[in-house]
Amino acid sequence: MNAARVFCDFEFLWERYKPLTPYGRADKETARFFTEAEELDEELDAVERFAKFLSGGKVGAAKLAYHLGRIPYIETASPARMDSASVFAVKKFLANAKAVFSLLPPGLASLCGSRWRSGSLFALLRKSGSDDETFHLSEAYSPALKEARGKIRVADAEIASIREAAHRRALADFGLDFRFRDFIVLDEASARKLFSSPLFFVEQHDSSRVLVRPVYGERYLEVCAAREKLVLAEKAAEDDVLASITASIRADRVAIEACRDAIRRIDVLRAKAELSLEFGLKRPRLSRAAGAIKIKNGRLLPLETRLSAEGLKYTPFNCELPEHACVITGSNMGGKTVALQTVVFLQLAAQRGLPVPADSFETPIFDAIHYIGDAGRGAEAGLSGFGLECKSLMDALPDAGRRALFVFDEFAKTTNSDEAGALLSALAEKFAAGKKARALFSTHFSGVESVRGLGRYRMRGLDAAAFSAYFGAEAGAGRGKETLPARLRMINRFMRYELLCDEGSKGTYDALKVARLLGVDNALLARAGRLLEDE
Amino acid sequence: MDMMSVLRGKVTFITGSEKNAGKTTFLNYALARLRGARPVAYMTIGVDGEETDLVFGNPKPRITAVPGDIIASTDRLFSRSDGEFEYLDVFPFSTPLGRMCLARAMRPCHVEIAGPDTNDQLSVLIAAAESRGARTCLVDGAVNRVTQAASRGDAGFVFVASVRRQSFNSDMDAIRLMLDYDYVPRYDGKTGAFRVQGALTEARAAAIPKDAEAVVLEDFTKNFLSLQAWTRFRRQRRVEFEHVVPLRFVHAVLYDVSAEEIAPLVSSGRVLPNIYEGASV
Repeated sequence: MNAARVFCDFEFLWERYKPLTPYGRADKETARFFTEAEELDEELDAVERFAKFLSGGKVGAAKLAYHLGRIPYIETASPARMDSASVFAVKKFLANAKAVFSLLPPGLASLCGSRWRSGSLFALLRKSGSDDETFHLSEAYSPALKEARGKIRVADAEIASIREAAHRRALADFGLDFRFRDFIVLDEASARKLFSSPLFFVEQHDSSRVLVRPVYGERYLEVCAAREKLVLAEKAAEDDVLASITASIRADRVAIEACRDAIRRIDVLRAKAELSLEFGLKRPRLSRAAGAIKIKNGRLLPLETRLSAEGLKYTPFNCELPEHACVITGSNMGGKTVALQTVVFLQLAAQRGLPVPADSFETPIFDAIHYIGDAGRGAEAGLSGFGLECKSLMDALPDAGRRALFVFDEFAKTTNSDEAGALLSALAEKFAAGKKARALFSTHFSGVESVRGLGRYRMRGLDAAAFSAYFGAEAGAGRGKETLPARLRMINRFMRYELLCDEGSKGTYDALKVARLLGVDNALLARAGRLLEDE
Repeated sequence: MDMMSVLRGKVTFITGSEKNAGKTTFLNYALARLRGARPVAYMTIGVDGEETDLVFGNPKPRITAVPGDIIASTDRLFSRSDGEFEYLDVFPFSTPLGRMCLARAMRPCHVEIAGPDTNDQLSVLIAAAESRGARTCLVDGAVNRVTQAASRGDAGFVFVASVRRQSFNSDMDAIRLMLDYDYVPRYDGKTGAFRVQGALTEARAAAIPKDAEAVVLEDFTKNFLSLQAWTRFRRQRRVEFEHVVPLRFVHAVLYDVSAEEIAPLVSSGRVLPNIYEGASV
């Protein structure tokens, strides 16, 4: 499946599918490939309904995205005692989940299983913090905590008062300002009179200066020591509160997990619907039956985007392929590979539960998609390009008896044409006779044998009339000096990317014309043309 | 002019010339000076705030928090503190000392701070602190990390430098270099510039093609030339940095060196000598 993904640059679409919660992102990571028609239908129905909801109101859609984006990851298998940070996460989770649920119309809410059942737990957690997205282990939870904190506040006030008094005295009597500093560096000679003062602690800073700190006295130390004990008591009280809150969270675990599942579902559907609206995607029709692969105005999004950026025209792809094995031939640069890429792109999108970039797309459901070709493959020890293709074929062939889509792009193009043709014929025969698997072949070999059940198609190729008009009477100054992008634009202008039934035409590959468009020397092409005529 | 006021309302990284240069002490001082109507936030790249230096084991000053401060650290370090905190956010990234959190101090206390490893994560923390009302944000960070992390928005940095009698000349050169870096322009992407990969050493400087219109270093930490060689190089070449971080000022911590001895630098208005120095008593 990976090779198929790379072949059609499926990541172009997948990376634009952006769930906002940790749960949605985890779901995306699984890259689920739906193989059950009922589940897929449910998923696509839900995406369609979500898209309708999102397009119905921008404010609601923005709020939904806002709250989903604020949902944190929470552990549902909580330890015996959670810490404050974990409790915070649960509170933030619930606050935003509640907001998300409230934004959904009843139909969608029920579709996603979003039922708010954590009201009591949320009320418990709301006893603290300045808003729903903060958590403070407040005194409201425990008299023991309240008592410890009260005493700490008294100690803090006394500590502050002692410090301020010492600082005031240091400033008034010695001109030493400790308001912003814990210590002051003084010239040793000038600080000599502080050495014997009980108000300061003096230590060497460097060879001529000393570092002076205020001494706050016995009472200060006593209060600090008492405060330390109070902090320990506070920690013990906090632990008790946390244990009690943890117990409440554990008691609510089933509801929280249901809430988490609903959030994941909402997040996934929202992200798919968002993608659908962004690219104008349509719901595909998938069936378990071995029907035809039918595409009306299918768009290979990565290519469409690239061509648009380069100012080139993109022609959507149309096809109806009822046979279990189809061979597509046609001109060089005529769109054979793009035809296969478009089928794979749409199939992958559909079986990932996404609407597709096509006016309509009907297709069977496959259990696997196998790509056999050399796109995106690295070198493998000892294997040539053909060797790699054979290895891919051997890996995939066990699925030939299953519901699998096999895509052969220019298979065996690097070996001699007779043997390649024979190999392709044997493969075509095998799949044409099969009942479950489908195989699509793109090839420039004309020697594939016609067998019963094999569909033969060709890309229409260059528009000969337009080509002749351009290179004939109107040939003028500057022709032949175009840049490569300009030449590609010419090919784009004259090539007709249409799939036609091949009624046994001898097959023209427009190689000389394409070579001419690409700027190959005219004299050389003329000679090649004469040789072709002689044959 | 009160140099500390230039830190108000901005994100400032506090870096040091060496381990134990006095960054945390400076941070405490800066916090005390900058607290006001709006909360200040502070955080670190990597681990900081422990009682002893992780590398050398020296005792380290603690960070003193007051109510309202917004602090980024880890759940474990907040639990270890003697403070009381309101948790404002918990992030999906961790350090070896626990999950990163943002919290507001509810009473005076001491905190240890630890920070994330990546600049992106640090940006998330800063944004979260800003969303909670903090306008002034101080980030304790090693100098080699700061240049990339701080090249966001309007961030700048304070360089805390020790100046010691026994290394007076080299310490002063380090400060002069830092002041000079602040005049090096940002690389504007023009072609014809020679990009130095890694450090600029004497050997690499000599190998730069004569016809290069400009020499581009990743940032100032990639200069390994002495002040003298750097000054010569700058006279001959147009030097640019890919990442430019404005220097707010240098804080010089003096050991056996008087403020008068660094007066020429202080008069530039960019060097703040010993903030702990008191007048005679």
